[in-house]
Amino acid sequence: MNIDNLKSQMRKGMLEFCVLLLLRNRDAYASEIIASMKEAHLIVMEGTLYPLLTRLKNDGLLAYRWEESPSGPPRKYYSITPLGLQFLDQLKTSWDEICHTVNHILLPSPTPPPINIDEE
Amino acid sequence: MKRTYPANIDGQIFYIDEDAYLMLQDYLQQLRLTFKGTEGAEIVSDIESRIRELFEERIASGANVIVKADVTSVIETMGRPEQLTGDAHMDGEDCGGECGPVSEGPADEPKPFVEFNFPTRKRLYRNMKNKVFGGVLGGVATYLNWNANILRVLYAAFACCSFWVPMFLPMLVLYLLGWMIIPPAKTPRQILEMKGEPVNVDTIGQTFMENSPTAAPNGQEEEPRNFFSLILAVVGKVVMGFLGIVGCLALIGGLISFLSVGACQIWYYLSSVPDLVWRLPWHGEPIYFVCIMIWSLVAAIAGWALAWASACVLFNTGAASKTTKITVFIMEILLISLGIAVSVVAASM
Repeated sequence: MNIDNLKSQMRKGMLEFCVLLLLRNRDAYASEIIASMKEAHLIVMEGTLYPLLTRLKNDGLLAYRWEESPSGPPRKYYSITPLGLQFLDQLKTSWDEICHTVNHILLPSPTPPPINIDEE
Repeated sequence: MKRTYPANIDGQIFYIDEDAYLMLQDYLQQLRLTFKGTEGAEIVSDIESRIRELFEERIASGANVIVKADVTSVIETMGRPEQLTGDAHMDGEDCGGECGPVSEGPADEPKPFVEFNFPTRKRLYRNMKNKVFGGVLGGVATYLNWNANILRVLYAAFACCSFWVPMFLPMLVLYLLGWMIIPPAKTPRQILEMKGEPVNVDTIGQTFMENSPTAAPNGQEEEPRNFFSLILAVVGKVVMGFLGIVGCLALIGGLISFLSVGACQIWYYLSSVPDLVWRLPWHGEPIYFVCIMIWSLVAAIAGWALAWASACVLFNTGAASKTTKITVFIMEILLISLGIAVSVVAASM
């Protein structure tokens, strides 16, 4: 069992969720998203975000528009679509469930129980 | 001193060092190959515009020129292509919060990206770092992993033996042909391909650094490496000079013959002097006339090519373009075959 692999597996599902969350309240262009994600230690390689954004855009969860920037060429501003919001709701529900489950196991005793008897 | 290129990155002009430029070009190329299709083009252009931003920051902080370290740091920030693809379905993210998994990503997926992008197959180039004339034998030796000097001696010995072969110096012709056809290894990528080493961002940069200080400013003649090469070069230059003189003579002879024979034939057709025909060595016979004209041309063209080639070697004059060389070569071959055909017909008459 590879711990790093497991950790990265755990994070994988989170990235789309986090990008959608970031864009829920305000539109942003790629570099802003990157800055927030790096701040939150969610990504290290900036390049990983671009395929993700493109995929979300192609799946109709995100849309983008070109906007003039104060300096340099126009920027690509991403915004969340109604479909994206719908997805986000579902992911949020799922996330709450996971949190609930994990906390349920985690919180009663500081050390994780060896066998998951408490679960049900 | 380094050469810089102005490069347009996402609509912005940056001055980039040559090695940094090659590295960046390579990186973008690898990204393009990693992300295929229209979606891929979009991803790469997004990444390019991010690179533009990073470079802008660099320039804003006082740099005039983008150097190799900047490109390296950009590549580290953006991630190498194999780190970006991650596993087949989820793009990237194998390196999450910690940097530990960075080394883990490629280990999960053992194929290095150079493998599917640029085959590390060896390719035959003329070795410009190990050459006496055109680097043909140096290139062949590198390709076959042989010692270049041994190959040269063998080749020279063989060439001397083939003097007795009725064909005109076949080994020399073969060498010149190789010089024409085999491309020189000029760019770092070509040098790596010549040696059969993997072509990736690191090796490209390294090769560049290795080559730039010693590279002659205009890519012309370099100092032969040792005494042996020196001797060979001197002997070769003497031979080349001799061949150049022969070439000049052939060119002049061929042209004089072509023009005078042509003029005489025209004169013969136009004039009404009855016994002029007996004064011409070919008796005004059209088939002989054509025959002489063709061989004169063959001699003139061959002489011209030989003179030019020797001038290139001896005086570093500009070499003819590849198309010119090939055109001339094909013309010469056609003329020779035509000449042989006409001569055979003339002899049988």
